[in-house]
Amino acid sequence: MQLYKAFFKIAKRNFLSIFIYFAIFFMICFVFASNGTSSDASRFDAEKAVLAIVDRDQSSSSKALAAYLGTMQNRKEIPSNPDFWQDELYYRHVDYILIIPKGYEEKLKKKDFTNLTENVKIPASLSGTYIDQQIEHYLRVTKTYLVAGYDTNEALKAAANTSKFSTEVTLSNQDNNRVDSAHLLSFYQYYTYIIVCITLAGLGSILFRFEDKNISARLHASAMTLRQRNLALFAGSCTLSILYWLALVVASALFYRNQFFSKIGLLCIANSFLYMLVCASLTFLLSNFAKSLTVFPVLSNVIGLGMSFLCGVFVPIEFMGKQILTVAHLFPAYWYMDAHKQFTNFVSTGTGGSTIAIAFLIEALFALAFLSIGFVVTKLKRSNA
Amino acid sequence: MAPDRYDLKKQIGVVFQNVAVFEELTVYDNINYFCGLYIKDKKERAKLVDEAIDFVGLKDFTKFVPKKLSGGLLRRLNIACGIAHKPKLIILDEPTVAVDPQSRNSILEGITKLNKQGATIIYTSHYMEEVEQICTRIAIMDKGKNVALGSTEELKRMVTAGETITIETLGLTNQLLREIRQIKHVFSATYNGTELVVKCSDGKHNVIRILNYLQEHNIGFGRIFSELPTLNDVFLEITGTDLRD
Amino acid sequence: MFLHLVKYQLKTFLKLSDEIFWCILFPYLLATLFSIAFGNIMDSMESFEPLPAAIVKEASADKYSTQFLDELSKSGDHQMIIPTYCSKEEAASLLEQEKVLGILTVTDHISLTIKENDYKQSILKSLLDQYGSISESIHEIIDKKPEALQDCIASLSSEICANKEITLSKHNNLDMMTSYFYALLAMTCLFNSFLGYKVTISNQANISSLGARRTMAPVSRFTQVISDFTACLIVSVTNMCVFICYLLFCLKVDLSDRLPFVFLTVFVGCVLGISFGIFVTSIGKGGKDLKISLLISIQMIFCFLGGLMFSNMKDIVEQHCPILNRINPAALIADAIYSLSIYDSYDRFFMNLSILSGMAIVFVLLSIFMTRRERYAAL
Repeated sequence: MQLYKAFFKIAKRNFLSIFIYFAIFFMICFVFASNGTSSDASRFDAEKAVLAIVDRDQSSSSKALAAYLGTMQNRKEIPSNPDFWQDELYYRHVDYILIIPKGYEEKLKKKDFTNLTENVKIPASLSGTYIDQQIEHYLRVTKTYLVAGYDTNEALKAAANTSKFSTEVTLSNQDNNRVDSAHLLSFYQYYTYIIVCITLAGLGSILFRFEDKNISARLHASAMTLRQRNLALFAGSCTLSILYWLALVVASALFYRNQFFSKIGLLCIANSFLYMLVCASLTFLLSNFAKSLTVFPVLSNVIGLGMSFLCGVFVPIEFMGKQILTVAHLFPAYWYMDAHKQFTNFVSTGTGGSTIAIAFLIEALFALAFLSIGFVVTKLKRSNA
Repeated sequence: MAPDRYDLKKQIGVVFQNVAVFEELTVYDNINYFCGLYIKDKKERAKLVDEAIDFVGLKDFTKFVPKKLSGGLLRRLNIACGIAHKPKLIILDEPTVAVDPQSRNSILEGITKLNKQGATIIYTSHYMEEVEQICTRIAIMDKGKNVALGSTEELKRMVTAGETITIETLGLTNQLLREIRQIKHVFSATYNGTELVVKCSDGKHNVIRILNYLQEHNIGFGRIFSELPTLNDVFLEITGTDLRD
Repeated sequence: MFLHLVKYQLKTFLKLSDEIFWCILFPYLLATLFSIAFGNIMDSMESFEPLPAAIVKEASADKYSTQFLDELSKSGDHQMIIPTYCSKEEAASLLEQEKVLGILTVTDHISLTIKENDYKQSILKSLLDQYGSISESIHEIIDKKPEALQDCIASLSSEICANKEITLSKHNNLDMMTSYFYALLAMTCLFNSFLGYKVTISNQANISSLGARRTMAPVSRFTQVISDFTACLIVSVTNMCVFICYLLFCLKVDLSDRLPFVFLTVFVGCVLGISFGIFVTSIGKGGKDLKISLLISIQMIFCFLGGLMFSNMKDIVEQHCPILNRINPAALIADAIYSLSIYDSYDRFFMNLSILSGMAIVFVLLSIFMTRRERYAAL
């Protein structure tokens, strides 16, 4: 109990440093979460790319093409100055820029279809190919009607009418009950990064004080057994970590009230709790190896960022190579994300329950493993001292 | 003294209570670095550094980093860094704290030597016996104020207790004890059944007077000890025995 | 004196402390991680690959529909789908396991069954829509202009090079993942503030006894600060050069072909990072722990807003609060290198560099000002 109380006295003294980390990382998490996007899984909606059209011809023909493409894709206006176009493309504000040069209608009337339009796009991209297909289809149909003897207006009208045709589409697992929890899920996705950083930086610096040579020697010489010492410190670590976790959970409940009180919310809480325990144990283990206090903030970013990139927190893991996936299995963040991705499916269709259960179990095992290794290391350190 | 009085700073050497050296540099590099802040000429500096290393006895440790040195060696390094440039005024702040007796002896001898070479030494310490050993003038400070200043003898004269005489004796009665207290220069006498402890104020031949008295009254005595007051006694008498912050 | 101070400060850096070690090692680790993680992410996320689809031919399968699907499946540059011909049940199973994107059921028309709403499924539908609409067009021409049918079919089958792809500049690196590397370079520049922190701690008499000893020396504060700064700069610039070489030659990251300007940006970034570290460590009366917490926290904010964790962050900030991007050193460094990769003109690059240089000068002056006249009533 003495050691547990001392732990919190030290925490109190260092409240300012701990609070700075917490506030900053919480803000980062919140900004991330705000970018979560939602989708409606109850019916098919064709995905649309973002298209910008620079019409330099301003003829009825060019406007007809623009109108046709406007029904197939999302149109966006961009500055006429090409200097801005690179940024628009790079940041994916637009996927495709179609330039209709002056003289488009003239060439069309002459049935000269060579280099009728120009485009700037992400090279060899999905969206680029998608839109290319549509433009090519339109122009090909127009050409066909012109070859058939129709006049230009009739040909353009016929080409535009092709957009009315729609293939019959069936969704194999239509889900009318899917709840939109995009922001909440986004918050708990980035929670993975935040909790590691806060725990290592804040909790680690407190635990390190008990690793000081003189303090350690004093504890060693006292009537307190190693087991009691370790349990007291771990209890302190858990309590502090639970406080961090509670603060984040309460914040998510306040900001995403509508989404929080749901089955998905419950699953997120459970997953985040387990992961918090993993972080607390990991910090307990690492505090045995740190040589100076100031290494903890640096280490928190190394491990936090490294694990987050590797395990699909910042970038979807399905887009990474197979070797990465293999290595990622070794990190607890991977299992957290593995469970996290299944929550929506589990709540709406009941699938993925076993994946979630296994992931939860593995997270718990990670926590236990780190803790056990931590205990062993402290014992070895003491016997070598 | 303003911080930019570099002409004065060049003449001053400071040895801090906490070891103030670069953990990453070797013994030689540390001394060379700090000497280099005072002495620009490389040849002269090299000579001074070697002398400083010899002076503190770190010749066998020049390539060691501070982490590998014992407490005593570290203190010696600390001193070397402060005095390598042969300053005229050296300020040493408790340089022998947590140091083994051999190292302490070596440090004290070194400081005395520096003084003989012409440096003025300001030495702070809580070890009175050290101060008594090496200092010519002593200032006693209490709560930020200078409460006494003088040589060892002058300070000892400031206190009541001049001499303490301890005599092994048996069969001394209370009456005799009262009479001993009346002897000239005696201001306190206690007897525990085997030892008579007599405290005398400043005076000569106190031992002879007391022994004569015992002889006159046929009181036998064995071993006799006579102690002059220590600086520790002086310090405690002047500042009191209450604990300080 | 100056060279003497620089020499020994460099020697202290040779024995890397924990913080310096991690700050130097971390960018290499992260860069390697980025490279492995993002290696083929553009291919997976954005590049077009033929779409796997299950094809179920019913008894009433229309021959033209079948021909159309065969055309789409022909291997070569124009292949659009990778077909798996199977039964209805097998197709359903493949779809459930997500081995195919959709089921194309061929009767007298083609219908599509999909599992989820996504881009690739939309492309599949679009292809089928085009086929369906062309069929209708052919029927219309047969009705109204049968004499032109042959020509029309020839026209529909021929290639038309109507839509020409162009590039906007010689430097046209649109790979979004490189923004992570730009942000990482910015972070590495800012991490040099730890060097600034380390030397300032060893200079402050109220924080370390080493600082007290150095304060007592007959060397002006200005000389000490400048010499420490120079030593930090030598170490940081050397490290950055090695890091850039690692990115270019080991990880094959495209940092633009205008490398001298990249090095210039990084140099200014190093100056800014170090002076920022000195400045933050010099302000206030807090201990070492508080100062390093502050330093790391501020840097993480800069790096986050500069796009280290989320590549679009800089762009989001530009849309909502562009002034932040003009004062955030991480965003400025990343944007300077980005502009070298994207634009031919140097306007944007020099604008960023000017702001960076201005900030670096301000922090250097502030650092000198704050450390020069320090006095201690008691230690």
